[in-house]
Amino acid sequence: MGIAFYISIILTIIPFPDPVLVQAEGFLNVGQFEEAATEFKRYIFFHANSANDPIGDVYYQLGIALRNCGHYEDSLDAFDLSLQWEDGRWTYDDKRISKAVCLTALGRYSEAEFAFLRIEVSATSEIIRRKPILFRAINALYGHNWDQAREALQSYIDNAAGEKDMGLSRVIQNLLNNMNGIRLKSAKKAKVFSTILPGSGQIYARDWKGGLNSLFLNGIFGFLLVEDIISQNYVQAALCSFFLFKRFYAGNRRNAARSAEKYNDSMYRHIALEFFNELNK
Amino acid sequence: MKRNVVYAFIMLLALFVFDSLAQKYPEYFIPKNILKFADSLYNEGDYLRAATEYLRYISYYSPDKDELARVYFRIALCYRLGGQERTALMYFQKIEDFPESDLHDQALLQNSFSLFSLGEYNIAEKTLSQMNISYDRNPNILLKKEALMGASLIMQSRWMEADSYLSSVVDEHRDPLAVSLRTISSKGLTLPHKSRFFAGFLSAVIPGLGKVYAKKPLDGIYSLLTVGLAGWQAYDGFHEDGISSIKGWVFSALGSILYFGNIYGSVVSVQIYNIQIREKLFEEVRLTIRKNI
Repeated sequence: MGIAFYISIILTIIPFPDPVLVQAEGFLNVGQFEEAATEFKRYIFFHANSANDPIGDVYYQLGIALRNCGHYEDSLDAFDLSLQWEDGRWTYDDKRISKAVCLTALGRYSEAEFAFLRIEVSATSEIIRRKPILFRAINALYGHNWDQAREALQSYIDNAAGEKDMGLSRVIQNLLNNMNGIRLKSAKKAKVFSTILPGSGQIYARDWKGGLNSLFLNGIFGFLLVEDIISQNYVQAALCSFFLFKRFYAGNRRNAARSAEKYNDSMYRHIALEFFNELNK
Repeated sequence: MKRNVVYAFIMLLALFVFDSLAQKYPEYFIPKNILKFADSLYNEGDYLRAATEYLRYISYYSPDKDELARVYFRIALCYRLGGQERTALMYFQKIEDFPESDLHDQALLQNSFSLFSLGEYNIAEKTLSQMNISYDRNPNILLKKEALMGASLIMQSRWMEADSYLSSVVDEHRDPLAVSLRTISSKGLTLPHKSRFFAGFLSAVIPGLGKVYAKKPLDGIYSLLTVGLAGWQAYDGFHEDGISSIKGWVFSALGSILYFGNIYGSVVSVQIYNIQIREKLFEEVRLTIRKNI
């Protein structure tokens, strides 16, 4: 009888893992994120009022599960709650980084950038400080901020120390070289070019088809307009330019700016993809 | 005797061990706790997850018919609020098997509402006409049923039927919901309708006139000017240089494109006009029903 009593005392003291948490973590590890989120939520529901529980960490894992399901807003809430339970441990910065990544996923780039910068400034360890720099670069690429991405990547290389870091730094250096080789197109310039010579803005933005089409159409109407002016048919020329030529000419200028933006967008996507491919390797 | 004492000791030991382990964690998967957790998910707005938990509850525990109907109703609401109206419909239909449940009539009404939300107005109307509810038994549901019936008729553009049906409902019960729907059905009876063939014809005779008819006067004037100008320029070209005039051919081609584009544009404008006028009333009906049912 005494032995049974002692065994039960020991069993009560030994920290056995909670079965629901074990299940939730299992789901998370095999990629069943919806199920993992349900189990984490179940754990939180039954332990919300107990002070000794690892509730902050459970909220963090819930945030990760929700983020992987694509529920970014809910994930953000979970990360916020996990930070409320944080007591200055080394996991604090990791949690803040996860929250900022969520902001990037939600397209809130400036907020994400500010969050990454704050972590960079306040991080206690050098390794953690470099992590947000990398994410800041990705955030800038997604937010179409070329210079900021370049600055962040350069800053990562400057701060690289360890051997493992050097490998990644080489990858980033290559990426930076590629980025430096790319000339982005200015939408303003494209518009000015097309104002001077219709179609030239599109050609500047590498949209050859659109450029030649614009040049051809505006060329014909321009020629007829000039012909009217030379023949002193001023009323005809004015009406033609106001109702016909103007329509094609204005379209040509608008399309030139659009072509430049499209070109830049494809470049950002290309670099971001290349970056992820290199990181995966 | 000695062996029996050992067995008893082992049993007692096992009992202590299980008891101490059981006390360590909450009983997550007993029916009462599953239901509590499901309700909390429902209250925080995580409807689809809540639906899964309600399903877990009825699979772990066989509730009586009343309770089962109540849980099915909750599951259906979860799917509706989670944006899965078709699955919601399936669960509302399940409650039809429990005619003695308090929720039976309510489920039938919600079933029709799901059909209404899915745009299946014809089936909603049929389902509602099969519902047999008396005013004395459930006045609130009867009034909602009648309103939904009228709304289904409106959404099928059966204005006359909707108006006479809603008039009789208004005369009988003076229900404010039916009154507001009746106002909409009356508007529907005098809904302006424009003919797309007539619009095309007008634009063929005088470019832009079809658009004026479709209540787009500025577009019409612009069409008239561009087509007229292109035609004039074509005429001018041919007049000056004869049949070999480049200017004449360029503006003829452009004028033809603009002319046929103007006819097609007028037909489309009238179609859009008709849809917009009708859709405005339909949206009013949808909002009224969504707010009240």
